[in-house]
Amino acid sequence: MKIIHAADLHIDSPLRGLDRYEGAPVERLRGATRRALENLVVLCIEERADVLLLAGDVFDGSWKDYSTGLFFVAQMARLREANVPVVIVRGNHDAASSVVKALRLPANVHELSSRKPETHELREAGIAVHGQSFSQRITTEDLAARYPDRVPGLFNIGLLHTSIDGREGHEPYAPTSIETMRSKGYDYWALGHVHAREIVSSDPYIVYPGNLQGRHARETGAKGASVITVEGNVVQSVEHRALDVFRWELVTVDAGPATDAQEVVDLVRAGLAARATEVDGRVLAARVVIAGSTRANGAIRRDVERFISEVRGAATDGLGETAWLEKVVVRTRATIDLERIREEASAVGHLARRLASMKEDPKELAELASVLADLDKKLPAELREGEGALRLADPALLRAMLDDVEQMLVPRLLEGGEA
Amino acid sequence: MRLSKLELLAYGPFRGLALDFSAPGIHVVLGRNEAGKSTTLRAITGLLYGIDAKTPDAHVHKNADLRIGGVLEDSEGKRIRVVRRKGNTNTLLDDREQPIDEGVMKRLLGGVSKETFVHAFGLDHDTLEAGAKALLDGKGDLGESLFDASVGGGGEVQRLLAELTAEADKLYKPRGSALPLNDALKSFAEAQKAVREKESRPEAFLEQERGLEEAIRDREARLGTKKELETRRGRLARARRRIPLERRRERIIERRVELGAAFGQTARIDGLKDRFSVYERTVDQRRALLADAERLAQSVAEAARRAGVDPGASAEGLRLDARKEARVHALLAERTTLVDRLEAAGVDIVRLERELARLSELARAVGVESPAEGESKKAGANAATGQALATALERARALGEIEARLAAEAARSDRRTKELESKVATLGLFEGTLEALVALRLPAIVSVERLEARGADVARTIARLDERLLDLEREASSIEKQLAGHSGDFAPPDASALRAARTARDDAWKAVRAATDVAARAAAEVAMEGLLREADAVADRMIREADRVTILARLRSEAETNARQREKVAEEKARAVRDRADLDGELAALFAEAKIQPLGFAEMRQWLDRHARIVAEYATVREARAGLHEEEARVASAKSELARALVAAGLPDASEANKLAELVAFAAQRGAEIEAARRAAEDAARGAVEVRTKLDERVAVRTRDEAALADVIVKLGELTAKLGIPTDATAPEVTRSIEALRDLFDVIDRRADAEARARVADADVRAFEADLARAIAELAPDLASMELRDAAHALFARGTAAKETARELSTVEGQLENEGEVTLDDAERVIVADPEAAERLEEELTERVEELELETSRLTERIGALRNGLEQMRAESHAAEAAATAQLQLSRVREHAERWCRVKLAAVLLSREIERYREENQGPLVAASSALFSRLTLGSFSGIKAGFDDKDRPSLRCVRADGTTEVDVSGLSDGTRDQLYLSLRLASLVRRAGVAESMPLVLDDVLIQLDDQRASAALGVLAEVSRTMQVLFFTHHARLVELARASVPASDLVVHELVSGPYVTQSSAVVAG
Repeated sequence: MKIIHAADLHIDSPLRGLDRYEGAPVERLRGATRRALENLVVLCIEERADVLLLAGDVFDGSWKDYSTGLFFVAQMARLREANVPVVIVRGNHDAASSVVKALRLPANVHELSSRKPETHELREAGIAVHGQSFSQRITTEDLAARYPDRVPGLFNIGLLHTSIDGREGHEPYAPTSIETMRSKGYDYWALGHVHAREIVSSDPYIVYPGNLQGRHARETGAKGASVITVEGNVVQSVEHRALDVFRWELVTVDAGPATDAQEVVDLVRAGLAARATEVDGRVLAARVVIAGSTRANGAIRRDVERFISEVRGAATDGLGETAWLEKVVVRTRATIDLERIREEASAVGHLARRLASMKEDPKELAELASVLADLDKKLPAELREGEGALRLADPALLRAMLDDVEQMLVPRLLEGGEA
Repeated sequence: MRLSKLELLAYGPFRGLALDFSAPGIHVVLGRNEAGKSTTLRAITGLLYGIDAKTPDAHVHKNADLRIGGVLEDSEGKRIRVVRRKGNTNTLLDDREQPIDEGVMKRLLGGVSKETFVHAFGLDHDTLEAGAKALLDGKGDLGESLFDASVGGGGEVQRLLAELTAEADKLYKPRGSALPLNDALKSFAEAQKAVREKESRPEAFLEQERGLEEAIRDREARLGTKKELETRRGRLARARRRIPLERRRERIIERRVELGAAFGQTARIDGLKDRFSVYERTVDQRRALLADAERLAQSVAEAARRAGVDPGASAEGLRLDARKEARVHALLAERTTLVDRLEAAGVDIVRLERELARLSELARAVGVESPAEGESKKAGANAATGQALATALERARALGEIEARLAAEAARSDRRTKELESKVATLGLFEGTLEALVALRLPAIVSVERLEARGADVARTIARLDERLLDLEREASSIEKQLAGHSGDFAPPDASALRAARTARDDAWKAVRAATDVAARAAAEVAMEGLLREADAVADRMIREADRVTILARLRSEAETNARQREKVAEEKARAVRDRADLDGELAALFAEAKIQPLGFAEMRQWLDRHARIVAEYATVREARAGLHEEEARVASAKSELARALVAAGLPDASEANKLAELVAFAAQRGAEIEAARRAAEDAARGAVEVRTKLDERVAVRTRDEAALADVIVKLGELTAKLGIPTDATAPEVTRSIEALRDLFDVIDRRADAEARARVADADVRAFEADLARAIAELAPDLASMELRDAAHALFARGTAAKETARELSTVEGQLENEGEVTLDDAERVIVADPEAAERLEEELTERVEELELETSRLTERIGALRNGLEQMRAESHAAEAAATAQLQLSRVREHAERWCRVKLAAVLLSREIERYREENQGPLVAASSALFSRLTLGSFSGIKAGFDDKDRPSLRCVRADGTTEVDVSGLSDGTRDQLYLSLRLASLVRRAGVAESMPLVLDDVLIQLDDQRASAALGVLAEVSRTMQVLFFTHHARLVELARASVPASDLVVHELVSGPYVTQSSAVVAG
């Protein structure tokens, strides 16, 4: 028997952090999450899945476009034509979504109740799915604890949208524990909510398949669904299948060996090319971090904008439509010894000492924040909230900026007019 | 830190060049072009901070050999000597080339980085100019100038600050527009709005669905209404159309009534009409026929006359039927035929009789018909002879060719025999006839061959033995030679000789050992050497002699062996030779019986072979000859037979003279002649018989024909008599009479016919007229009074009219049926009756229908659009696209924001730092610079002070000699500005030296723009500075050295000169001031 387990589809939720530039494959960005869902449907059909499990968060909670719902319904209808049953639980986002409320799902899709735990049996396939949907966004009770008993003779699956025991970086959603899940005696726990794929346990299998398509630079690596092969009601294998169309990756480049900016560009290009081959036809959404103490630092810092567009140009040249540089982070350092400079009695030394001391002084940092306050007010809420937010008053950010300022000022003052 | 001594141990072109900078005061280093000034400058930095990986100074010395040495003095006066080599690590060495910790150097450097040393503590002309220009560009901004002077950046500070500020401002301003970040913020907001706008809510979707259903329903309704209206309109139109038709029908019916009875009987009338034309024709015919009959009556009379018949009487009896007529003609023909035939037959018979006579004559001549005695015999004998001749001829012919051949064969046989006989003669070893040779009893070739083989074996053996013998002899001679070599006296030395020699040697050695002085020792050594050699010689000889004995013994034994072997071989050879001789004896024995003396084996073999061939050929020849005789006998017999036959046929016997072939020819010819004559006679006889037969036939036929003719004449007479034709009338006459009769009857018949036809026509006419009268009476009685003919026409006209009417009626009724029945209500009927009203109503209805159509098609469009919209809603999410666009905008915002923040902070912090530096250092720095400036300008300026520019920013101002006039930076000349910058730099450095660890100030030709006076002033200033910090002044120009000497106290000046050359080893001249 073949079971396909996916979660956190977040259909039509836009991919974040991508800046448009000349040569960026904007066309391929369209409908990325939709195409990932289509890939999932094709997978189910080709694998002749006995059931598709969706462990919550099909839509973004705040998303209001009904067309997204219609699209999802159409895809589920394709599965109906192919005789693939689908079992869903609502996650925290679905519980808040207005789209979900108005949606009429096709006959082959069964949504487990949110009022109490429910068992949905698929007799011909020999599967029993137990689960409970979120009724509202914040769910702090342990839903798994009250899940029904296993049905003997069938392959028992627990379907649950949860953060388990308060994993780092997540608010607790339907918190539970591995022991609780084990105690139910199911053969497989199909979880959702954590976007990074993880096999939490293998006895029984407790699996986060991760989301279907990474949405920003922190969700790197292959994304997709899990294919579970079962024989004699025993799990034989849990395979991950990549279904994403946009692959996020972090590419670090050490600019140390380079002597000029062009060499750094070449290093970046080489690094990208190596990664591009790994993504197998998808778009490589790369965040490029260029670091290291390098002689090219002066040239780069002199005109960072130009350098970044040269890097982007090189990426477009070499990789065309297959790569999008989400961001180019310049963290190179000059080859001078800042420590030594800080000890000098000169004006530059004084400047360097000042910058160093500012980083440790919260009052100074706050004063700097006030320089940026005007812009901070104008920044849209979307930038100031959520993961990777840009908060100009954040001391950590200001310290990082001071590092950059150091690199912009000190080498330049010391190295004079060197290009 | 001070640099007490700089040693260019192996650097650039220098080798061991030392520059002693330990003395106080300003050190001026003069290096004319190419002397190595730049190299020396680099050496200083290299010593302190390491030699550059890509140094240009390794052109003489290899990289690994480069060495720069120096003596460094720290602030407490402690000196340390270090040496720098080129490398990656452990480049600092002590005296003994051992690596020392860089910390030593770091301590001495006091934390001054290389960059700082180069920029802050180094000054060349270009930097001076750049710095002065920056002062100008910065409009003498005090903070920037001071800061830049401190950093030694040559204006870099100002440039950097300007760049950062510009970049920040180009990206974003709080109330900016058309700036990237400002725009990005706006675009993002717009994009967000777009997302909200494009969201399709469920209600929107459902609403659209409902709208679609409604539109469909509406359309259906309209279509229904339209149909109804159209139906109604159709009905009204139909009703309207019916009205004229009905009216027409009424009129037609009226007409029908008028036509009366004729209406229903059009068929009948038509029939009469058709017959009418026939009727008229028939009337005419009747008339014509009657006229004919009249005429024909006359013709009858005439024809009767011609036929010789009484016109009045009935001629029927003379009617001749066809059969009889034919018979007459036939008989006539027959009569003519018979007559002709009889004539021909007569001619024929005469001819045949003559032929018969001729042929009989011919046969008799040859004796076939009526033979006489003697003639028949001759013929019979002729026949018999001919036969015998033919037979003999045949036999002879079979043998014909042989004769010729036989002669040739005989000749050949003779030739071969002769050949054989000659061969016998040349064979050799034999004298006698061919026959005798053939009869010899000889051995088989095989036996001879065997003997030959054995002989060859023996010969081979002998040859081999000979060879062996030769080898042995050679060996023997060699042994002899060796023996000779080794012979001679030999006297092996015996053992005692050897002992004596050895003893002598040992004694000599003792003498050597005992020798006291050098001469004696030498002599003893010589003696010893000789005795040593002798002893060795004796020993050698012994050994050699011993060897020789051995060798000789060996040789002798070899000689013996060799001799024995040679004997044996000789024996064998003799044996072989004997064997050979035996073989010869055998051969002779073989040939003894034939009394032939054999030669060698091979020769005898060949001889036997030739003999065999001769024998074989002899046999062949004999056989041939036998055959030949047989044939000759046959030929002779045939010839005699033929000759006999010829004689029998009456020819001379020519057998002796003639050859067979000739005889054959002659006989053949003769035979042929006889045969031909015989055949001719036979033919004639046969011919005669045939002719007789033909003749008899002819005669019989003639007789028959005569009888027939008589018969025909009788019959003919009978027939013609009946017709009144004389019996002897000729055929033409008879024919003419018959024809005339025929004509007569023909005319008679014609007349009868015409009369009959006239009667028929009359009957038809009357019948028709009766019908017509009846019809008129019935159908149009009102016409009865008219003339029949006229009445008829009138009737017909009526008939036609009736038909027309009927047709019209049916048409109208058809049209009415097409329109169909229409039931109208009262109101409608009223409207219909009024054409205007009806038309109006119709127009109204049409208008309404069209309206409905328009509405329907609009609804159809709407339905299509709605459906599309719904499809699209399912297919795409514009909101998602808008959201993606918004995200792109957001990223743009973020990028710009991050960049702006950094740039802004950098600008702000730098400018704050500049300001702080100014505040802290302005006073003393300005004061110090002021003093220096005054001196450098030779007092044309009293100094500088801090003032404010027109924007109220602190700015540098120069005060003229009068103490009050202020000039700002832009008002200075270039040279004066240079000096201003130099003042700032020097002041800054001096101040620093007072505060922290100092380094040597290294100047590279900074005074070249100044005139002598100012240059001197500058040198003076530098000399003073050198009290605070070490000043090393490098220059190309000897003039400056002169000026220095002139303006600087000798105790404060040290001049060094770099001497150029390919390989400088000498130290510089140290010229004390």
